[in-house]
Amino acid sequence: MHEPAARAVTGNVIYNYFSHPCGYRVHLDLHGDRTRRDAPGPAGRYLMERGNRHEAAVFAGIRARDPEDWRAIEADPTLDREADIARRIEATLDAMREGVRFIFHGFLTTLPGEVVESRPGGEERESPLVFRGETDLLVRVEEPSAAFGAWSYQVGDVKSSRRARFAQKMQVAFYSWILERRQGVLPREGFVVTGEGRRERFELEECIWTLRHFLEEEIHEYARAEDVFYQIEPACGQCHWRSHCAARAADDDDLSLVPGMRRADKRTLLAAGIPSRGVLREQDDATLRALGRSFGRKLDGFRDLKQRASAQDFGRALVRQAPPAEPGARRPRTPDLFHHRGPLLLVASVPDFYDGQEAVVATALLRREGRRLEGSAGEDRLTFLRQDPDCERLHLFGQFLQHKDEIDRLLARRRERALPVFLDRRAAWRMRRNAESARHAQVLQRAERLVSDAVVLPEVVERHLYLPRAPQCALDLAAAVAAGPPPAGGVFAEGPLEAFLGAEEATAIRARIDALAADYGLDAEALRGPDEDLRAIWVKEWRAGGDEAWARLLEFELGREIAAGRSVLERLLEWVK
Amino acid sequence: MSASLDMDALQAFVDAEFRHQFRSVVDMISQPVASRVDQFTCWPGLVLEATEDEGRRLILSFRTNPSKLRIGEYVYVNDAQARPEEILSGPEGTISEIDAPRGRLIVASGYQQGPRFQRTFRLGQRLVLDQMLPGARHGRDMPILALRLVAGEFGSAPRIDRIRSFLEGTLEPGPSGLAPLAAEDDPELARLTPSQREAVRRAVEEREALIQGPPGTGKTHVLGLVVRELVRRGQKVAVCAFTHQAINNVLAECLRHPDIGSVAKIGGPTSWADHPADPRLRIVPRPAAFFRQKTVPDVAGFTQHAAFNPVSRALDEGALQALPDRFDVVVFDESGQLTLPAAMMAMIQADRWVFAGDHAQLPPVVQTHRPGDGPAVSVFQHLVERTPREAVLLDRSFRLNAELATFPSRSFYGERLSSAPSAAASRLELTRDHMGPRAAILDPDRPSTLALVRHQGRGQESPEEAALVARLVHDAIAGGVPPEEIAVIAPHRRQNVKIREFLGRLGHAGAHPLVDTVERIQGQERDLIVISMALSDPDAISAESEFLFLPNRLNVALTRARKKLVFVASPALFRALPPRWAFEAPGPSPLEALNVLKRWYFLHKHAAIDATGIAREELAAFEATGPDGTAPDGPKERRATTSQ
Repeated sequence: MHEPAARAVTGNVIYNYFSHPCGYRVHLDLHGDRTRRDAPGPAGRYLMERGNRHEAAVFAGIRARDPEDWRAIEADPTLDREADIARRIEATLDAMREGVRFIFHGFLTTLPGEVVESRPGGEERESPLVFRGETDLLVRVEEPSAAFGAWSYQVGDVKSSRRARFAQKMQVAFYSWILERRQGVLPREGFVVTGEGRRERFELEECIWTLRHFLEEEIHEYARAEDVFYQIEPACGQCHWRSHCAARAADDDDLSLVPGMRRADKRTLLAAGIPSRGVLREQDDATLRALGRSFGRKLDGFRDLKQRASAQDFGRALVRQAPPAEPGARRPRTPDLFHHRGPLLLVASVPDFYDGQEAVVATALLRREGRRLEGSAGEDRLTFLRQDPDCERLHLFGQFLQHKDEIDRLLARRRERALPVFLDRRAAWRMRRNAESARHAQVLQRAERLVSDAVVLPEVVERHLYLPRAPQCALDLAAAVAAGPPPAGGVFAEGPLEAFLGAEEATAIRARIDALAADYGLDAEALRGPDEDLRAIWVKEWRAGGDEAWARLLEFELGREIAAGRSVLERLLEWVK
Repeated sequence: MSASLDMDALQAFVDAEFRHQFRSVVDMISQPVASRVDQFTCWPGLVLEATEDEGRRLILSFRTNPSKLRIGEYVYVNDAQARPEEILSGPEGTISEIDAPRGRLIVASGYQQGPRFQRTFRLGQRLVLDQMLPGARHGRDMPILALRLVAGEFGSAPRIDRIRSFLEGTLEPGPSGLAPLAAEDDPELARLTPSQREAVRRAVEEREALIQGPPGTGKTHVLGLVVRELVRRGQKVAVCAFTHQAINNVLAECLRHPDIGSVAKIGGPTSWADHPADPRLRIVPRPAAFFRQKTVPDVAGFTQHAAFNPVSRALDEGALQALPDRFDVVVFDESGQLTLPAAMMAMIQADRWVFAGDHAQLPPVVQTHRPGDGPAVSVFQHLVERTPREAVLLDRSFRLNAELATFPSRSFYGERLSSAPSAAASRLELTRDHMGPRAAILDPDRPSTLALVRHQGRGQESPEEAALVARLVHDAIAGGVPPEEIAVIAPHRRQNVKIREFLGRLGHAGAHPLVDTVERIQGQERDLIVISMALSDPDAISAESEFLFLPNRLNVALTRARKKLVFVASPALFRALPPRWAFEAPGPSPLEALNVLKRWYFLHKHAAIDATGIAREELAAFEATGPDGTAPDGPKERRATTSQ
């Protein structure tokens, strides 16, 4: 079989795959038209710039400690790319043979015939792929190797995250796997230098089998196949091929554009001869139910997906009819938005970019009056809880629990309790994790109670509406529930910064944004958008510098989300009877 | 090394577990029957055929059991037409007998429910059983009382202090003060392996002892001898475990020894149906009655809840005057599945403790924490890993042949486990002439076989795998392997139901061969084990990776076979990755867990057999015959033609 020549498999391919396993991305990385890749957005550029600065600081620290025994294998821009790589590979090997203690940016590669594609049943053949990559750090260790004698090398990678993550470990394991071929022995350990400058070590045995499975089996499938399965998902937002896939999905009228369509669903529908949304809409309900049952999906099977596809066709939300209440039926014991008569405590939050735990929480207390919600999501009624940059994470969570207790104490006079409504699908999970990591018994106990009693708005909406888009948080929901796409400023934007913060503070914030944009060479307007990554950048900047302006901006953003959540709730109460 | 006990965290853990269980049952009960059946908490299609004990025991008929309800389970009994909101007010009972081959089930009325049983049900009525809400007293109040007792909230006592310091790792080891073991004079002790003898010696001569018993290393046998030696030295011994089955196994072993004069079994399902007919054995249904009696048997077996009964009653009635003093030693079996609060409930019964278990096998069943993490740790793992106590490892497996022992030994027991000479070369005895292409899968000379079935999008059920597994089991039985020596393990009940359905169509509808989950099969062994993993949907595998790839679960599944293991799975299973969040959550790395499975795969993939074609052919044959079809031999003839 003819196989088109692929690009080399690099550490980035490995990192990307283990960040978000997508075979099509691997295929495109090896064969795709690179000119069609998306340029990094402001968040991506911000992170890259930050990473480079961190790496430079780490290298400077090493050089200061050991000024004699290091070597940097830098790129030579005057040379052709491939010629330069060949030169750097040789230079790296020379440095290793000499026993240089620290090698920065060493380049490693496999040689033809060194890697075998291996299949179950004993089938083996030489891999046509080349595996190579640029390491951040190669560190000499006094463990013997066949190639260098009394010493060998370990691989380290410099990252700006607080902890070593799975994909980063896999990337280090990949370089170590190549290194094994050069020095004759697999290093026992690898390490990641974290954003805080800590060396987080791990044993390669911990991940080498997972890596080998990918390198010896899976990657060859992705490299060889002409039509690799693809799926449009929220995680695609980070991918540099997202525009390519979005365009392809639009052309194909692809099934993955239907909200809630899992990869397995799409595969099943493709296997059943249903290749697109249009065909799915035309399917007979009974056929889809039978198909769903045969694949173990509950009750309605794929009929649900057809409804969603139809909702997209109409371009608006369709209300799912609730079953009529039977006379004398008891009220459900579990929290239920539609049966709860007391006030609702809307909770919006922003997590820290890396830790995935709350950095800022905003709440608003609303009372139901029939199908209307009384109370305001305006500034005076919002309560903001902020993580002190110097405090433990638990501090914020503790504040939130205390805040909820205070509300319940006040409501106790009327024999009421506030029902927490999380506006972000992931907030409940993050709170539980936050409490767990605190390892504080009472907090854990109370967190469990609070989270298990809470309502997660996107989940309630999903149960009652068929939406054109998969909702993740209140802002998405608001856009999805409202007819048509969101206007440029967001559906529920409350106006310019000045309207919310006052002229003086707004000016200060604008100046800070402009300064940041200038620092990183970014578009200042882009930094003001409601994008989730950007909100996380605000958190990061605020935590790093303690600048109050960023905190106010976050509050403004969460105010918008609370307003969006309230609007969604009102529509739900109106529609779901 | 010491491990301070965070009593607050343990209390929160007990409370969270109870709330989670309660909530999940409540949520399920409010669903229609179809959804409840889907989650295995409901058993519909029952017909009341007769009653016993003046209507207090219902004899019901059934065709299949689609639920996870088993003997000893507490259930609501309702009319088949009952609405979801009426389920909770239905009469409560206990399943006391399930006779699957005859389709007969007995439900006994629960505490003070006899009159409701008598007046509610009529012959011929169609009934439905639902899993009952967990009781707050057993599930939450008693463990928390035990924690508070050990924390010293009800006063101080030397035993309380010892329990706390032992669990915190600050109690110095010391001699028991009993006569030393004279192994050379006793033929049974002389026959033990050195590690078994060391385990008995420590249990007798030291004040506290830990015994780690990997699969098939004779742990129960050793415990029987430990009890015998203790009784010979005038000690009264309590045997405690998480399950009645484990307790019964140790008690049955005790009854082999004539030196033990009296044995009592307290609480639990009244049907220890196959208990030894021995006049020394007394079964006392209610713990309170046992603890009121003045005479104390040499050995008594009970769960932690029964053990804590006298203490909790005393605390309920006002104050605890004194701690129980009926027993000298508590011997814990399966303590790798016992949580710390549960262990404390039984440790109250005596001043000395022997813990036997294996923390490399299944951990305690918990829902709110990762298995083995934080307060969800088992008492055995806690003692071995967080305190300076060292466990005696029983290092000879009398179950696994040499090939089957290699992987567990390397992955879970630091290469210290080996196959005993009597088991090392054992092979499955069967004729394979009738099997066609399936013969290679059941080849006795390859004790461990990976059979790959390529399917996609499958969740907890794979009909292809189920069809293949059913046919392999049928082949093995036809080839001379007794059904009692075969077991099928699948991680999910849904797949087990499918396999049982296909086995039933092949004429194997009885209790044997056993088809069950890993949890239910721990402690058992068979000559032939067939594992069916079922999943091939990457998302489903990823979502369940913590459950599926838990190394302890894998260890249990891989170590049930004496002679032959067949691992049936989709290739997609081995390319799965845990969800991203799992890597960022606190606790043990899921990557390590995943690696255990992948390492096993790398050891077996070169000799793996692609069974996709066979599986599809078998499934097609089952589908062609329909549920009541009687032509299981059809595909065999077709296959014979194909193979020629």
